[in-house]
Amino acid sequence: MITSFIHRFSSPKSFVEVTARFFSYVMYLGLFLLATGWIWGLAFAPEDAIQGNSYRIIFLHVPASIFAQLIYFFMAVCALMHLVWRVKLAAYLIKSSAPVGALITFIALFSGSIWGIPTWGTWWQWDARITSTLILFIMYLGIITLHSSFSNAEKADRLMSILVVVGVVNIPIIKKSVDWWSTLHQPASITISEAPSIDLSMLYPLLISISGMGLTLIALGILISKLYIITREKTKKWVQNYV
Amino acid sequence: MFNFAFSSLHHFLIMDGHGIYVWPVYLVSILLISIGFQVTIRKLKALSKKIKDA
Repeated sequence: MITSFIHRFSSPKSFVEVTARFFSYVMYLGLFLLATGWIWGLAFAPEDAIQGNSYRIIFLHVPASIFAQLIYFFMAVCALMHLVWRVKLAAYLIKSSAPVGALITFIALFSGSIWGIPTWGTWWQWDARITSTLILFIMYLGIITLHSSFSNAEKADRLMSILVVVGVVNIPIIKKSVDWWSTLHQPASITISEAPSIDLSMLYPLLISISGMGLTLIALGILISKLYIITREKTKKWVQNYV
Repeated sequence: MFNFAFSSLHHFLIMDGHGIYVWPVYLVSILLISIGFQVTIRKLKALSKKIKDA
């Protein structure tokens, strides 16, 4: 019953048609929230007592870091769906999410490195948080490369899913690295289980930036998925009717 | 909460010497995300045209 439900609602055709309906709303709302969060954070949030104005990178770095990990987690769920239930769309979504994940992980690494110069006195340190995030970036590139290196797309889907599932072990390591090891990186400013450690005047624009970044990346993901699905299924009749 | 945090536009851009770190990070990120959208939209249009013409 679960299998028939999943297969019924996870056809590539349904995905393309359903996401096309709300793509514009997601993209424009995402860009609006991102602009609001960033303008609020850059111009109106107060200066940090310790880090001065360099802390304003937080409104980009934290959303980027959160989604660098969340996208991989999403890919791992899709990989399980593909391996267990042979859901074709799940493999398409992994392949389409990997470039988005690589992009946002690069932004997280880049913004963190620049932020490190005024706060730590160095742009790079081989500590647990930064190294595990670099490994995440390499994982994303590896997934893209692995899939592209096979001529048999179905076989590539399966191997890519296995690699994604194996690599998910890195996510809790990134998350807990600041607690498990001595590191230059500060602990999480906001967690689900505890009260935030930053002032509300900084927290609100940060939450808006996180929401905006999430929606913007979902919009980009939808767009790349559509491109990939049409590429993979271009010989199918529904694609020829759709374009 | 909605008071401009700087005394002038110049101060806002300089950010007490931290603007040199803050602004490039935002500009590069905006550029990369925009390229992501642009490249995908362009490829999608080209692919749709190719399928239609075939």
